[in-house]
Amino acid sequence: MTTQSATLGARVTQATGQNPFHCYQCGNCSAGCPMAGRGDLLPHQVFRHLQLGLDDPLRAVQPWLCVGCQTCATRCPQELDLSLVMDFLRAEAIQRGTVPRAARRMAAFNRVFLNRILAGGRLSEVELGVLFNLYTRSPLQNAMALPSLLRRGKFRLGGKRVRGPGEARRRAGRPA
Amino acid sequence: MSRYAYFPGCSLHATAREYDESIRALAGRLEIGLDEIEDWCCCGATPAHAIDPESARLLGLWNLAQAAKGGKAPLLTGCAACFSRLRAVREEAQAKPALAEEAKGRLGHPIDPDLEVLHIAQVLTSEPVRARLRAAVVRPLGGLPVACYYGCLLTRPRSPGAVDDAEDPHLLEDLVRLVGGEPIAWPLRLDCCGASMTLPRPDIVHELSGKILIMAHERGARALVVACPLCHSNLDFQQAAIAAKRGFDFRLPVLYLTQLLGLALGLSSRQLGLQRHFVPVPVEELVPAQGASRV
Repeated sequence: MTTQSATLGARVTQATGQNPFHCYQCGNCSAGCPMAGRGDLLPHQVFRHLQLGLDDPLRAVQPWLCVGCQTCATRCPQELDLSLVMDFLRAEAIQRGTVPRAARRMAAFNRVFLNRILAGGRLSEVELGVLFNLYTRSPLQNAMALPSLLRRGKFRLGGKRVRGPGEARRRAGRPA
Repeated sequence: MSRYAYFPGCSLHATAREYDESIRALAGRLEIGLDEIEDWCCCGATPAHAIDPESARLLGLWNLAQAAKGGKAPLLTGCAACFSRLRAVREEAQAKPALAEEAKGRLGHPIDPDLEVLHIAQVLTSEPVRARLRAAVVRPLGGLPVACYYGCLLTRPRSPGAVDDAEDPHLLEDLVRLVGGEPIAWPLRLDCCGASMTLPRPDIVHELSGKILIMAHERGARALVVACPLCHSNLDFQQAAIAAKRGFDFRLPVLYLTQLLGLALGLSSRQLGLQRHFVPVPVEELVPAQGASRV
């Protein structure tokens, strides 16, 4: 449990500039979090576990439920940007292969989305939906929505492609 | 006429096309010059920073570099998420001057860390646009009760570049009042709609957006006003599914800020793209023509 634990909190600080030890557990973040109670750890508990040297936040579903609404960061009396910490925990969980089963759909969504942008620069939500369905093997999810989106002109084929950012990312060595 | 480097973002070219249409229509009436940035790319939205902060930063720098090709013209966007991401990277570049150098090396174009990043709501509330807007009203909203919904990323995070107070903003209400609408007092205007959970966890979006719709309706709103394409999608496109799941039978039209203001300026439903909505917008009922009484 504690093999890499002392380093996780320190790595959070190093990578994000946010020191988990500044948290005094007031719970404001968890009180305002729209995702609180849907996962395992509450946001302030993630910080307590980091303080205690535990590395289970890397296997927790809570970071994957975070949509980056920044309510927590806005209300933290210690001005900790929890969203940055959640970003770090997700990226670290991917690298260490500890993404929990309950977070697979969120992980797939993020991956499909980012790959699409790095390939073509711009995103069509309909294409994203189709790719997400293929990736998660649920080809018919939302299929009924397609004609109504087409009818409203909300989906057009052949948008401009902007490849510069993806190329720059690949030159820099894109992580797996 | 002030000119802006316009950053529509992906949604405004696709599912939120009517937001783009209404921004352009309104800009035309209010002498706001929009020059679309030629090679903009996706801001990265939530998924990029969620799993790969380095890619998110790179996308932001790319866009700031493209915007800087237009000189000092402020970057203007209508999407709350694009606004939040571009602002975050701009602020990071201000704090770390090395980032601007790095951008030049990696992307081939310099960025301007002092380039203003603005949301359309800010431009509309600033003079002289605000005065022009007031003067251009030909079809005042006649006290239409409207729920102003900020969502998350328009006002957060709290920082010098923020549009308004993060916990008690009033910018949308001010604009609605300016054109004769009556913003209602309600408690969920800063609560999350479920954002990008639409695909991976629609159950969460249906619950959170359902709460928002029900609360706005119960407080007497006849329309919701938003300034974010994802909020719009969750509250409009998903509304029928939410209503079926939550068992309510009302329909609450969800208008972009620029669409509501455009109605007061006498722009037509087509010019504002209202026909693209999933929940119909009964314009004649909501905004009676001058002289007629509200239905």
